[in-house]
Amino acid sequence: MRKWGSALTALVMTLGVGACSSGGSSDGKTTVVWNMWSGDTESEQKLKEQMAVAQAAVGADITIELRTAPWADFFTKLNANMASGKLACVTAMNGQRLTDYTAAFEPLTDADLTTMGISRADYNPGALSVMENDGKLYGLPYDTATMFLFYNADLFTKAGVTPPTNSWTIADFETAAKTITEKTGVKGFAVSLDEFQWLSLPMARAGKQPVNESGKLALTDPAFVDAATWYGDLVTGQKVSEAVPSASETGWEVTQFQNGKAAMIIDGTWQAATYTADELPFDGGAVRLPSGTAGPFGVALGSGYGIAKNCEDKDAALKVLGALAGRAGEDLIAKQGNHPAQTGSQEGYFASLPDGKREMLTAAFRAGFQGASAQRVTAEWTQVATAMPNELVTVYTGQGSMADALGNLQTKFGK
Amino acid sequence: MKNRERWHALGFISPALAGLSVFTALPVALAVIMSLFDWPIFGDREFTGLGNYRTLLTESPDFWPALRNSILFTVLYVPANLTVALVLALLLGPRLRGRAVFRVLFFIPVVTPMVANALVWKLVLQPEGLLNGLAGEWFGITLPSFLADRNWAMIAIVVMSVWAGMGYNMLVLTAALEQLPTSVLEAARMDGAQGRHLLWRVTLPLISPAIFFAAVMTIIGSLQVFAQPQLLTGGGPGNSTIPLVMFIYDTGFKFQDLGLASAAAWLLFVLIIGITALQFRAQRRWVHYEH
Repeated sequence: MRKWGSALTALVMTLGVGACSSGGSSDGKTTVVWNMWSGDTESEQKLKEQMAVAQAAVGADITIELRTAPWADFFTKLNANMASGKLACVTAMNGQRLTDYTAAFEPLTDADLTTMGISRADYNPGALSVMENDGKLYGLPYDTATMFLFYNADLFTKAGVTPPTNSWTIADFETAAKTITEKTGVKGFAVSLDEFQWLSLPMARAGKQPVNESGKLALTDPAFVDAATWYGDLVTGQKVSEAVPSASETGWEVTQFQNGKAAMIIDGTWQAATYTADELPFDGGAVRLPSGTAGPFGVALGSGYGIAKNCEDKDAALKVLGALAGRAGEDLIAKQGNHPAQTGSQEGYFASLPDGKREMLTAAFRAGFQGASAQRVTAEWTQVATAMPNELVTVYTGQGSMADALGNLQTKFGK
Repeated sequence: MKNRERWHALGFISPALAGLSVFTALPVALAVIMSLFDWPIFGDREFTGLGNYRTLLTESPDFWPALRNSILFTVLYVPANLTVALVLALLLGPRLRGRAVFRVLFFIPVVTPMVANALVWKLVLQPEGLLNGLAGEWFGITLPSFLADRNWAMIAIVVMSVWAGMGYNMLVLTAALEQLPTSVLEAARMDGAQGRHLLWRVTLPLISPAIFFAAVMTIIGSLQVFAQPQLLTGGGPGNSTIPLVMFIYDTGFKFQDLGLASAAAWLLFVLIIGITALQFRAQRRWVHYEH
């Protein structure tokens, strides 16, 4: 039955796709497909440059073929590829979503790392954890990230408020947001519906993650509920943020910030170069997340590449993986403006930053990872993250309480 | 000779038959099989009999709300769509000069991609959008956040859907109105029928087959609604606008449970078939095919 099932699923889900994506050999040469997300021409070009570096490293016997999909569609496409047994040999994976895809990836052994010329010592302690699940390593991270507080320095100056620092507390944040809102008429902050863009401040205030040490969903933990309620109150009570207009508007706060309609937002370190770029109509800055009473708190995030279980030529895939996530690939990633996972390449990232922002961003990165722990997820985390925006919207419009919203999610997914 | 003709006929229909088999019959049959299994996207499958159906009907927290939302959308959308389409078709009658231009204008949303339609409506409905801007400027009032408000989100989706879909039914009904037998209409007028009386007693019964066709197709389409709530409200706030097809999509492609998604798809199929069958039964009472 399983065999027929696989065949039928493959037929249904891949009609029109046809081409093999798991790599294979012909004429003594092997093609290894590399599947990665890419949102625009610029990021596509960066990936092609990375592919060229990796291609030079693996030699002419292996041809690397890049296939991309936008971030929003990437995981749906991945699911279709998985169902049809056509997952690309080297497939990108986001650390937060790894738990849903471990069955599709080949765990990497220490021997594999040696084959790739990779050592665990190439990474900060814990950096590999973004690609680990249940003690197994499912891929190599290519970047390491956490969440930052980004700010519009011009609005701070206009309101006469001292810009944020890396030792800011939640109370400092709150006072600044109120003052800016009152004195400039522009909202001091923009709340979010997105996973870590909204979770980060409640986590920092509560000093804990919404998944406990035992791996159980803990959205109704009293300290977390209290912190999340404070976050929702930024819209409904303190009115330092507008409400997000609908549950489909994930990423709304980015538009608000970039259009100068909000003085601060929370976003990932991967946006550091974008939100501080000279092209913005204001002077952008970044600092680590404000600390709660328990001190600095955050989560280490990141993405990486793994090898598909259905890959026909694992040795070739290991070579490609080693080339993409190895030192040469990481150096290029750093130069392209992404904070690399390998410690040896990280200085290259800081060197690539514009002169006027280098000192500030380097300090933010150094401080940002202090107190950052590996992100914990449950088996249903994707479902929790998918359902979050719909619940949060009711809180922002004042039609429901944060305690009820978190309670609903806990009831649905916390069994 | 007869045998040869049969082979010829088979030859002619074989491309359509092959397409129907591969793209419709096979997936439908596979969905039945999948609905009886615990069928993750990747990994071992396990036969569970009617377990997925039981889970949907008794345990799933979102299935019943999704079914309720699909039915609510249908109940609100279908009468509104048909009424607006009929009114437009009657207004754009033969006496109106430039009616072809109006028809094209009203039909444009039908052929415009739903993503573009939704983007325009988002700009209109969001708190900083056109509607709220005008309300504030002209009347000094602040309107609700239509797409995030529990009481308004579904209504906003219905309004946008009517705007986007009315053109199709308008065209169907216009075609029917233009083919009305003039002799019957003249006879009715000579007998003194006019205005509302002529419309209710003569015109509408004469175009009832077209209304029936429009009603059946619109109900089927509205029970399958997906793009509008996905783009406008993301199914929120809470689960107040998640329709059944979005539930199926999320369950299968985001949460990787193809078995449960297939079972939900079959329940939707049964619902659509059931309602369509009821409509065909009921048509005997109000649809008049003879002129």
